[in-house]
Amino acid sequence: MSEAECLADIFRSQPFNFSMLKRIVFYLCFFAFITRGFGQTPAVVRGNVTDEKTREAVGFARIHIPEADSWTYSDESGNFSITAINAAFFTLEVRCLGFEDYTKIIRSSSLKDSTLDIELIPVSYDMKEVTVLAKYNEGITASSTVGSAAIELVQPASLADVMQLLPGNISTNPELKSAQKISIREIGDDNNSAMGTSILIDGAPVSNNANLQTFSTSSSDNNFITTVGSGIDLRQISTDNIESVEFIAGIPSVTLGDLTSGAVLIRTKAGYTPLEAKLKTDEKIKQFSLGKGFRLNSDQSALNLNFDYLQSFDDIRSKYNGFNRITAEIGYSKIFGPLQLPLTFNAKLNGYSSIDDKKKDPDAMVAGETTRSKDQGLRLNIYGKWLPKLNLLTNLEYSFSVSYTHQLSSEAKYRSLDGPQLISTALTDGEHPGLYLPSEQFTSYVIDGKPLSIFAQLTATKVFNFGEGFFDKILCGFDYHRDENLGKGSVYNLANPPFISQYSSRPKKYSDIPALRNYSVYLEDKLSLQLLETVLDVRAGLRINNFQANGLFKSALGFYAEPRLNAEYNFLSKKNNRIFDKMAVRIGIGKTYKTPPLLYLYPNKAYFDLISLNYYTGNPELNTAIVDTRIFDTTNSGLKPAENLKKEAGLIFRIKNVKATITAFAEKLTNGFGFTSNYVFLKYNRYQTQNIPAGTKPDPGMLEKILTTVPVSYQMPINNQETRKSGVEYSFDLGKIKSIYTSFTIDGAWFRTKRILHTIPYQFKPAGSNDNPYQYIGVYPAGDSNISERLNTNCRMITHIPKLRLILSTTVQVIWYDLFFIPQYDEVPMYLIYADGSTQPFTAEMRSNPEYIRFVINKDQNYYLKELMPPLPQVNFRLSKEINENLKLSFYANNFTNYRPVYEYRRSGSFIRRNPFVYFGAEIKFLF
Amino acid sequence: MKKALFFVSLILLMGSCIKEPDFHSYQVKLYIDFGSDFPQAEKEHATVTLVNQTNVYSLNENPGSDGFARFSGIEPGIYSVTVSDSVAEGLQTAYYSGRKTINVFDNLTDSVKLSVNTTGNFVIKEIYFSGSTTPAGKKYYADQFIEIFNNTNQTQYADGISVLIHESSNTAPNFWAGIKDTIVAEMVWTIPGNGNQYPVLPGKSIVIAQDGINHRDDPNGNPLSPVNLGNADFEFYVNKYNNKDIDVPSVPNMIRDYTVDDLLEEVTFAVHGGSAIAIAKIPGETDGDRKAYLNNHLVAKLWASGSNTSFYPKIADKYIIDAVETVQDEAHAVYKRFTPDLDAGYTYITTGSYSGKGVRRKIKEVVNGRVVYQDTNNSTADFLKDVDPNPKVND
Repeated sequence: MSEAECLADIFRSQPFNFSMLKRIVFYLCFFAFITRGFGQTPAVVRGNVTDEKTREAVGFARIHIPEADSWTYSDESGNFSITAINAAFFTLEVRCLGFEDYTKIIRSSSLKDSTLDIELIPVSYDMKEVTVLAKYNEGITASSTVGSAAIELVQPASLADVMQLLPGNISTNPELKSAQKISIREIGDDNNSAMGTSILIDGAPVSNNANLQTFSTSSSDNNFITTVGSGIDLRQISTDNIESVEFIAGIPSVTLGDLTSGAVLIRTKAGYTPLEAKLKTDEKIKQFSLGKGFRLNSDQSALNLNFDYLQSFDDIRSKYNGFNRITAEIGYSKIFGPLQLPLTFNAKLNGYSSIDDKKKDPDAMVAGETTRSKDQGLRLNIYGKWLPKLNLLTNLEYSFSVSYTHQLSSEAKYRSLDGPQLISTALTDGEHPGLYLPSEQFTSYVIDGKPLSIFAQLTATKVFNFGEGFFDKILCGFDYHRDENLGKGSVYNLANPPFISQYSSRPKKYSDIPALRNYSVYLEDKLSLQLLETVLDVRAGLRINNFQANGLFKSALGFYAEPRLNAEYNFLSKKNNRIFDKMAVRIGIGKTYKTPPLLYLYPNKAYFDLISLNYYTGNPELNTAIVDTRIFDTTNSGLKPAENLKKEAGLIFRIKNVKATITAFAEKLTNGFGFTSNYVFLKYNRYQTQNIPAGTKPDPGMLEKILTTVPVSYQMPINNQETRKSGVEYSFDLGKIKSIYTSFTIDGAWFRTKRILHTIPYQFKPAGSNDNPYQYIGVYPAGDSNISERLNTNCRMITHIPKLRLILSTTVQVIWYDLFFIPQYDEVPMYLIYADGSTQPFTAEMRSNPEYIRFVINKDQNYYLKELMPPLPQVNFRLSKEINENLKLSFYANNFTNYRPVYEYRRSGSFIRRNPFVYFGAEIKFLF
Repeated sequence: MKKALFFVSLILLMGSCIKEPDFHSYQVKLYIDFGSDFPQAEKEHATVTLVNQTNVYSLNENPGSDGFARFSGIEPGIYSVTVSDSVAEGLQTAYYSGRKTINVFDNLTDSVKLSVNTTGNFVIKEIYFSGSTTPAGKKYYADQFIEIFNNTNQTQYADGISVLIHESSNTAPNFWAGIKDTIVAEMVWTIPGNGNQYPVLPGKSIVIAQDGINHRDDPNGNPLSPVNLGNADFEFYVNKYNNKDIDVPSVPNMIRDYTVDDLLEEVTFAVHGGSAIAIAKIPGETDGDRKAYLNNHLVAKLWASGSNTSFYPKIADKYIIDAVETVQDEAHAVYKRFTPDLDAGYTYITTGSYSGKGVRRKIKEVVNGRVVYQDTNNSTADFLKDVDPNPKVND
């Protein structure tokens, strides 16, 4: 196989053969070893970091030179020394908890032997600059960063509320009554997108792969709250311990995997913070949090502690449905040898407990009935970085995390369904005696899940400086991810089941389910090249995944390659024109894959309990029932990972203090996971009861039987979902008008989301209307879909008066239009399948034949109408004031004009009130 | 300044004195169209009843010699108009009735047409639809039943008699009002038999139960159920592979002619009383003929979401033997579905869902020990509300 073929193969990105993989591993090693440093020994930069306000030395500040990828930390007296590069200019980034980020381009010649004096601006409202909005990064791919001051001004209850700072997102009220799913670059949310957004806390993904909290995959009888088969529940992530969040909507680096839509990188606090105590209250939520970061100056380390308690009721007048969350975190960070070969070590231990409770009004309830969903998790995260200053290795990053969660979903209730019922408790195929249940019984079940997730990652980088303005950074590494569930699964008494429904199910033990094991290797090259007065940056990477690995070169799901390419060309700068300080274009294309979570890989078995003999006399001695049980394995052996092809192109420019980024994107997610009905024809005997003499117990062997054929269906996992996202995101930072202390930002997006619900033909049988079931199944064409579009603009005005130590943020959000429609789709079978496997085309005449008429899914003409909603403004308001160094007050009001116009759906004639309710809250924060 | 304030408060004070009247009231003039054959003398005995649908009170008037019934001082609102009258023709009494809904938001003149009521050999004697409450306070409604009574002095055969439930629920205007002289049924269940298998003697009845067991005493039943249906004549049973409902061998099953498969796999009447129920003799000598009739008279109804269509059979009024309009309550009578010639009135229970109460026809007379139930074709007048169910008891 030639190189070209090999590459072509990668971009086709189907599972490929091993010679390929071996070749890539070879290249990886090759790159790591052949190269040696170019040029002379680079200069060492010395400096000192101080607090602009207090003039005190700032220790524990991270100093980073991105061109050389070298870094260090300042010591307790603020001093540092760092190896720079041999170039006329280089960038110096300084970051420290509690201070604004500092970035400066430094001319090497200006350095000589002098020390750099760096003054960091503390995050304080009496300083001139405080960043309280999302920052749209000008880097190689579309991403935005939200810092702790911005998070604080939003006054979020969970990570979900921070999302509204992103350009295309709509502001919402904090909602804690149901699970919150993440959605990036799309309208609404869906399970595949939520699952495909990787949320990483300090570099390690929070996995939902082993979540199996559902009663059964073959039915949807869950009364409790669950995010099974979706992304993680954002309500579980408290925000008080977050230093910054980066939302990567574009094409992520190859170090990030097992995702389709994007990634959210959360960095928790490490370093000194004052003791912060916060009380927050609004209509539904009460929150208390406490946090403190200790600097242990003597040994260059820090200890961070954080505690958070939140209680929320869906309706404060009846405190029966509630959500409670407790999180506690302890983090230890240490820097070894900051002056020589710095090595960082971080260990974070996070424990959380969240409980969704549904009780009933004690006046109306029956004693003991509850519905509850409880998650308790413990997570250990160890990570760090080493700068060994070797010829072959610039940096080594390591990350290890293990998380264990105990998920309990339970319900205790009276099962009372109409009257006496007949069920089966059989666990094997065939005819078994049935069981008549009383009409009312107290019953309970527990779904006990214990997901255990282990993640390990090692990444090595090497930076080359080939000469003036020509840098190359090579990165390679591997990660391993294992998810399993050690839980007991669904636990209940078979003879007293919690539900009686059409679909039968039996308890399943989760610890019997195999673990999900993925490993990946990746290689990335990032090149920065100065061409005359322009700069070209290219990042090209490849990630190779072994999904469900059975060994290094053996795989159950296959090997999947994710090539990703980003490029940014900065063609205008101060050097070559007078108008633009910067103008750059960026493009990107990349593939991403998401493995099927355990839910889809190992679904529940399907049980059919066919009623063969039903003889109920009222006399327990004589009652006789026979139920014929059939069991089917619903596993889909052909299940593939979900696949997303992301493309984007962007324009970035800066004119004086006006900054703009515009990004157009198109994403196509294919092979999304879903469940589909799979039909089988079952033959079973129906015992005839009319000739049984009254007052006797029937002997099944003596009874006349009628062989009956019945079509039944079960739910099987399948790759049948497709989502196409496209749109344009824009943001204009217009700078500050000093006379009114107000800065203006305009951002927004145009999104179009198309969801295809069936990408492959599917089977369906309409409900029958008499005792003779249809003896055929319809096979319907693929392609039914829906399309949403939305254009919005957020005009954010930040008034910051340092003298008053006050920040006022007013956001005017306008949704210019909101469109939803379902494209025409003729839902008529292509053909019918009979029990013997034969087929019959569905003809035009059959459409009106009463025998087949129900197979035609005949829609209302209005069903295809477009719902085009008119422009909708909404004004939100946030105020935060530091009374003094120790006290801060904040207040917010969403939609404070309570403007909620009514829209009448053209499709159904029903009405909706747009915009959320007026909602407000306040918090008080003490700092010591 | 003080003066200005004084004047402003004076104006405000006066403004509050000038009051609008509490409500407007209107004149309503209704012409009763008795038709040409109606004896003049009986016209003035007709009772015209107006029921305010919001506040649920009624007003009665008799028509004058010019055929107009006049109401005055009527507050604005929606009213149901019911006219009833009877004419003795020898030993028989013919009952007439008419019904209409009027919107009174101004003085109004309207007319109501009276038509003669049909009478059949069978009448619906009793419907127990509310279900009962279990010891834990939960719902139980497997004890629902309907009882059909032979109101004549001759033996009648129940074979092939169908029980229908109107498709339109009692929470919105009759969806099928546009289809004249038919009932569009949500379910059709038929008593089996070849025509002379199930005789019903004069003054006797048959009980069709949801489940034919002794609900009160059965260990798997509900001790708080008011009924023992162990002696029911038929039961509704959905013969489906995964039906968890019980099948009692001593109680023959009704034939399921039409009921769309549902998750519950059970035939139920609306427990709050919203089902309009009729019995009919659908044409066709055999089960196959009857099914063919239903299949050939399907009408389509789009789902509220617009995403699909359901089909229901329509049954011509001429095949209806008896019909009883049960509604949720007086306010929901505005959504009455049966036309006056099927049932001029309506009935309901005031005790609510799962209260163990039902509705039963009043006894008109006892002839030689044989009970004759009142059948004026107006269930408002003919039925007793909130009765304890009394299956198979006629005295």
